[in-house]
Amino acid sequence: MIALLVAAVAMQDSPVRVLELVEPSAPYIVVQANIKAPAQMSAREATAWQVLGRLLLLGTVEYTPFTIRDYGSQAGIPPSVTVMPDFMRLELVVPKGGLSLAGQFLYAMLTRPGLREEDIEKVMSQLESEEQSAWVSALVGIDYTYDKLRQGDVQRLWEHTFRPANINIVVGGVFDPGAAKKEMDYRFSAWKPNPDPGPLRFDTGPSPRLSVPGGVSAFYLQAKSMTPASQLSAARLLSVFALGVGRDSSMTRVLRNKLGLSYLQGAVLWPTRDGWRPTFLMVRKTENGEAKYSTQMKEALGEDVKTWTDETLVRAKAMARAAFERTLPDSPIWLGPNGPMGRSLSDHCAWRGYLEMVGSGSLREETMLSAMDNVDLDQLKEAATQTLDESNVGWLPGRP
Amino acid sequence: MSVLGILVAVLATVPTQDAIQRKVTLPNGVGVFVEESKKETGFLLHLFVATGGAPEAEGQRGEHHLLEHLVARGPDGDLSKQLELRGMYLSADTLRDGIRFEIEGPSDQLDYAVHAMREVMKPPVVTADEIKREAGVIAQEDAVRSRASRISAALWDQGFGAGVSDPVGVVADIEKVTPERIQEVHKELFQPKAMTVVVVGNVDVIKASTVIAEVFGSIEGDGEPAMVPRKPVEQTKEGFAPGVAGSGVGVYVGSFGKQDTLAVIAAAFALAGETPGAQAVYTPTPNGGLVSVVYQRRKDVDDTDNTIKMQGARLYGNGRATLLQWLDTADRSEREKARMYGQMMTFEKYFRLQDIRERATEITRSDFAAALNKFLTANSVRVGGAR
Repeated sequence: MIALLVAAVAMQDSPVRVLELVEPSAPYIVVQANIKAPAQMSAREATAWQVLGRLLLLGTVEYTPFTIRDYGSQAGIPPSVTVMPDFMRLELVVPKGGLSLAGQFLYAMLTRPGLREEDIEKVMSQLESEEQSAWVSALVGIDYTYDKLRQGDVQRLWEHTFRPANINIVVGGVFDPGAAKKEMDYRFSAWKPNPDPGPLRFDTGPSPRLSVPGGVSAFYLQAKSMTPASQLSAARLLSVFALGVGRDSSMTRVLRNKLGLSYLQGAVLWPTRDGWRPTFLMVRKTENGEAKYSTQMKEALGEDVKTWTDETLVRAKAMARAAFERTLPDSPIWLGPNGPMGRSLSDHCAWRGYLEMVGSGSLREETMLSAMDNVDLDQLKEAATQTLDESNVGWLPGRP
Repeated sequence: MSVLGILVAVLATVPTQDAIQRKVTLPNGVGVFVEESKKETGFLLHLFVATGGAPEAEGQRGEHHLLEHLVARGPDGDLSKQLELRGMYLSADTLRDGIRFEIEGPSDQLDYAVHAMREVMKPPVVTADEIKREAGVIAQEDAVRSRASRISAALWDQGFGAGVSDPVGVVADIEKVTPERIQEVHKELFQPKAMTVVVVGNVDVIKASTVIAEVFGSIEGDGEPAMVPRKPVEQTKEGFAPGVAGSGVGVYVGSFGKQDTLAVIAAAFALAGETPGAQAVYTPTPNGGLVSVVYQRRKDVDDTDNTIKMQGARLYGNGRATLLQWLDTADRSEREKARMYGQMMTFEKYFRLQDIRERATEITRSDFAAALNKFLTANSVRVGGAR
């Protein structure tokens, strides 16, 4: 991934912050807008956030959804939106030379979305019937309710959050340096969002998820969030790799190989507005008397940390390097609900956009890796113990 | 070494736009494909062991899957540890047509990885207790299968008969496997002529081919891989995927290389693009199989006919573009490319991804329309649906 980065230029004089990742050998251009969610949302607003993301693909004031999909799919990748509890990412992929087309659509989708009543109902119905896996449900942790939403709720949330200061745009691929900023400046200079959108109606937050469908249960340990650039994060970050990344991680060795409890277990650095939230997950078939497994998992991992040796340290560092420099199927670095970050241009753009959003835009992978290289075994064990000690223990029982 | 021994059949060493490729068949029958790509920062080493699509016998379903789990540990049980200490990662999967093992790592570790992959080929020495514990892990694996995997499996049941081709297997059958039986299965399957080794990445083609030839050239066995053509069962109109909320539609296709298969894949991409959360599902194979569209909701599949009739004409552009994009992405991805070559080369030595792409560009509107019509209720297999 580091090699892919030919030029990353953050440009601040645009109404919307624009990052360029020029990649001359790319076959197309990826344009992503990252929009940050409000720090606090009511249950209804949290649902509206989910709906709003889908609505962006369902047409604007001037474009039908067919127009957006057909013209926006010319590179073979349709427009998409990734909605997380704390942010959303709208993506357009256009052929070489398509910056103008991308700018035109992006501007329309962000600043003049249709937000039609009938589409809201359609999206609510879709979202309500979709089921996330137990793994993702545990990471998201929210039980969305789809029965009380009106157009005004979505409109108000859009006016409140879709504002230049709350958005960054990342453009990656084949174009002349500066061309993406110029295009986005040209498009977004005319944007005049509502100067007084009014406050959100935060009362009580959304309900936490209490169960998951599909006959499987999720058991998790959830640590405190950390930003990638925060002090002391290197040892804690490395401890995530030691505990939950790879087939010789503590989680796989202990939970799968030794105890035979699970097939699916591992660590995820779940992206939130406050940074990564390390989460250690195990998913297994639902059974009676299963509540004990979360605590058992925490205790077993804590005991395993005591047995760590220099090999544990070497392995964790090697896994961290693999995750940041190459492809690691087990990587804990997620940028959305669909799995670990890969090496595609799209993932690369999403990574830079996320770092920018959490205030770590200047951070480079090599800096993180160097910091982790300096961690010794005692620091690793201390960080792992601290991470486990401070973790919330959770369990989402499965339902048929 | 005999004269015949050094007469390795070099099929081709071809420079392409960004890469140098080499195809070799070792004297013992192991197929080798190496592609050097300086754009990459590491390599992906892939071993495909073809099982030829032969269904496992009643009462023995899941033996291939169990074998995959056991050999991936390595003879000493610490293969992953040794690899991960060096920045590499081993993964393994059992498919309908074979078992695949993959090691990813930094370029300077390729020799170690090739030798490690050879360790995977050694017969597993296990106890009955270890088999039972692994059967428990496979039961957990079965429980956490994705919705797409479950719906796809249900479609295959509809198309080819219940349980015939599901690679996960039956846990009760797996629990009954003895240590002696797993040795027999190993001997039956791990024949050199059934193996294809692929390396893609920032490697030297000649050096990589040489180390693979040294390490894999010594594997003995003269069993011929057989590909059992799949025969669709008499169609039932609809099926259900128990415990799964989604739905799906599947269409029979022949080999990946055929143009009508590619047209069906394009149609599946186009249909999936019309419904949020829908996915096109297909594993490239020289054998027959299904191309499926898997939906999030049980009722979504009911809209398929209407979409084809009302929107069919405008879907051609997106379907064809998405197919080409998928092939181009595979061409740029170490993993996807290695998987395609691994799966295809055992039976089609001259397989070239570039040829597939050329065929894909030739799909006409009428090819696409014909492929799209195969997804109509009357021509397809289905699970879910409100009717």
